[in-house]
Amino acid sequence: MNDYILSCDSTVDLTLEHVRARKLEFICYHFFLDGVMYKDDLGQTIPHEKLYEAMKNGADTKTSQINIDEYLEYFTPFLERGKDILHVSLSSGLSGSYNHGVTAARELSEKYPDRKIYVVDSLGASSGIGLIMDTLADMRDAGKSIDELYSWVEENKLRLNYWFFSTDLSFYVKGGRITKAEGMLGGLLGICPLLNVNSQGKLVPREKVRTKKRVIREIVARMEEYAEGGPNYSGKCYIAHSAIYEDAREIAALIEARFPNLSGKVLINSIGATIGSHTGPGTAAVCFWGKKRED
Amino acid sequence: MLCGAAAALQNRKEEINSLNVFPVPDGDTGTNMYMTIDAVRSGRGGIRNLAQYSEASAREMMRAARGNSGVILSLFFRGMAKTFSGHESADAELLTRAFRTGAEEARKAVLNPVEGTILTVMRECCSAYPASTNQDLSSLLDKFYHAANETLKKTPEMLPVLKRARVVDSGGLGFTAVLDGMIRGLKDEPIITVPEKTELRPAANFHEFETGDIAFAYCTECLVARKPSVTDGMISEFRAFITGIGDSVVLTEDEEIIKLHVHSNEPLRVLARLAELGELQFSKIENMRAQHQSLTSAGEQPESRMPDKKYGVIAVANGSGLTDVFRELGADAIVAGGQSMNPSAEDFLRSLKNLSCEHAIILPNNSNIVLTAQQAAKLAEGKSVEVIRSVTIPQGISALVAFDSDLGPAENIQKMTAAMASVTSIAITRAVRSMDSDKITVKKNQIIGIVDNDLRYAADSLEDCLRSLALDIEDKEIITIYYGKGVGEDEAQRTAGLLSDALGPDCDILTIPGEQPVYMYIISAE
Repeated sequence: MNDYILSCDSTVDLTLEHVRARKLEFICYHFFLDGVMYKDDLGQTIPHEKLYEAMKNGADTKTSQINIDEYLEYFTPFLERGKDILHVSLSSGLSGSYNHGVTAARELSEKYPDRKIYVVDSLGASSGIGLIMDTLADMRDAGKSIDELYSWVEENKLRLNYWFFSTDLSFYVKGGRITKAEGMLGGLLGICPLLNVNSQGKLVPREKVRTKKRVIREIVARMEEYAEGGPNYSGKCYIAHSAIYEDAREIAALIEARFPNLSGKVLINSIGATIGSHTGPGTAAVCFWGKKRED
Repeated sequence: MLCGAAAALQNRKEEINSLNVFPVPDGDTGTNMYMTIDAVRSGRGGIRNLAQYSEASAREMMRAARGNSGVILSLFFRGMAKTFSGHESADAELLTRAFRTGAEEARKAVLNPVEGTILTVMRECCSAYPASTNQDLSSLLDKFYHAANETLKKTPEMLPVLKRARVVDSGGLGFTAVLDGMIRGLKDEPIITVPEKTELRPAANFHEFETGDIAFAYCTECLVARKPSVTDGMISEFRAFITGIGDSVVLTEDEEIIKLHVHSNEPLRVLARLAELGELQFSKIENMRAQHQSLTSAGEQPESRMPDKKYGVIAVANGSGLTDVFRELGADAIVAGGQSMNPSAEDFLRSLKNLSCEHAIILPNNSNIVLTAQQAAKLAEGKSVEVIRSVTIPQGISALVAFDSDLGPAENIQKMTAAMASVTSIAITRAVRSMDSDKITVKKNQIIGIVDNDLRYAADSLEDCLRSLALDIEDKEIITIYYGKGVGEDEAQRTAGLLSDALGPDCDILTIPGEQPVYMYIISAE
């Protein structure tokens, strides 16, 4: 039996079944839909499709970070049971939750001096964290210790690459979580901006690409450029999307054709409520292991 | 003398306009030259000294210059002014030298000078006379005028396109009209001006709004990282405070950030109260009264404030739809203009002045506007201005799509220029006159297709024209159709359908109401 738990939060954007199967624990964010607060519990309370439909119709969304109290309440039972904790949080470049997690962990270490509590800033988001958690779960199952996992994830988290596009950047602009917005909208011309996550874990618009068809090709080209081993990439690839399943399928098919050594099929997930409140419908993100993010 | 020239041009501008060879209604050479030289008619009364007068006039003309012919004319007068420098009056020798310098200066500005144009007329009119001719000025000018007319008559022999169209060069004719006007001015002969004035530049009239109307002087915008301890009640309190001291309040917040926009007279109090709610990430305070004054007194004192942003992009466009596209892509200012309306260097300078940026980039989007933009770039003081040589609207849009405010100026220029190379620009309109060239015969009222500024097709129906055009863009993937003023959406959709049939299902076709004049359709294929 492991003497530690692997923990993440509801921005991991994996299905509940997946999270359970990999024996991952998670803490929930909360979000507001037209002023009413809901738990982001991987789509159990409010199905993702319903959220995106509401957003398309102009619903107002807001997200709420996880505060120190919530972390204390969530971490404590594991510690009580004598388990150590490795918790991976949403990027500090997007949310203050990470800091609250660190503060909670510090308080708890005083109360439980024999326990180890590691809180990791993923500098990433969504199914990318999902892919990190999946890899950590593999290592745990292979019998590695919590310290080995902690140093590995700190060493490797910037090797997780995120490339994504949006057919409508206006939700991102409203949410205020992108580094620049001017001139990136281009809705009249059908521009789908190509973005990635930088080394500070922030969302950076990289290029304005005309039409969805082209941005899909471009995203696969970026994967060829940045994936470990290029076209010989043999790791896993996760896609997260918000209400554009068909496009996600198309990207997955292209990737499966272009990367013959891929480990398994591309896994397609739906972007959950917390991330989705800021992306709105129309985003697809490709996550894979590759070159370390440097800028 | 110069006023005479301006008056003469005013009378003959329609005649000059009508000589334009291209069967697109862009015949504005006369108008452009007139607008350029007309600048000297305002307020030159006090100056009697030749050097000062010519220097000031040349400067006015350079600022007012529109179109290629206007820029050439302004440079001609600048060359003259250089020669007159230090002289209180001119004799025949000096005037001859001034003309020759003018002709040379004008020629230098043109990348590939072509014979049979205004440049030839400028050079030839004064070349036959030894510089020492000792005669009175009006008879010398008469000789110049005579020589200019002789050269003008020969322009069709030098430039085949003129011969086929059975016209003389329009810019050359404009220049002879200038000479004629100068002679009459010198002899004090009256020139009867046609009392007609077309308003070419409808600009917002900022004078109508007095600065006193601005109740709150400071526009404040801030972004704050919200402290976790801030409650919704505190936000409500803050909102009440803000609405109490200002207007135009936009306050948005979530658990992590607070964004504020407000007009008030107490920006520092706003900042102090806001700082209680969290750490300031970004803030901006602008004095709107000062901005208003700089708009109403454009062209006065230089500004010394820090630039607001790294880049400022100015694009030339006509039509509300095209303007929207450029704006949405991040253009900071639009200079109204295009095929039938060339903006002046002054128009660009005004836009440049109102832009608070480190690097300005101009997209002229028309071959007749590039030179004017470059002239404005040279005249703009204390600013780095780059002109991207976009000669069509689709090129300008592609260049702006490639623009990235995170990149350095050199890298941006390179990326934008490269992006223009991958786009094919098509313009479709109805021929306003018949024309014959070695490549194509056009009958009046036919539909003509222009590919990358080259008139390539003439057909009796739009369908036929599109079929021919489709062959030129077979390998393209994205077609954007900007339909012009007077073209309905249904009609545009039909056109898109025709192109789609011709190009196949793999080609993405987008229709956008461009609202542009002159062209029924502007099409970008990339």
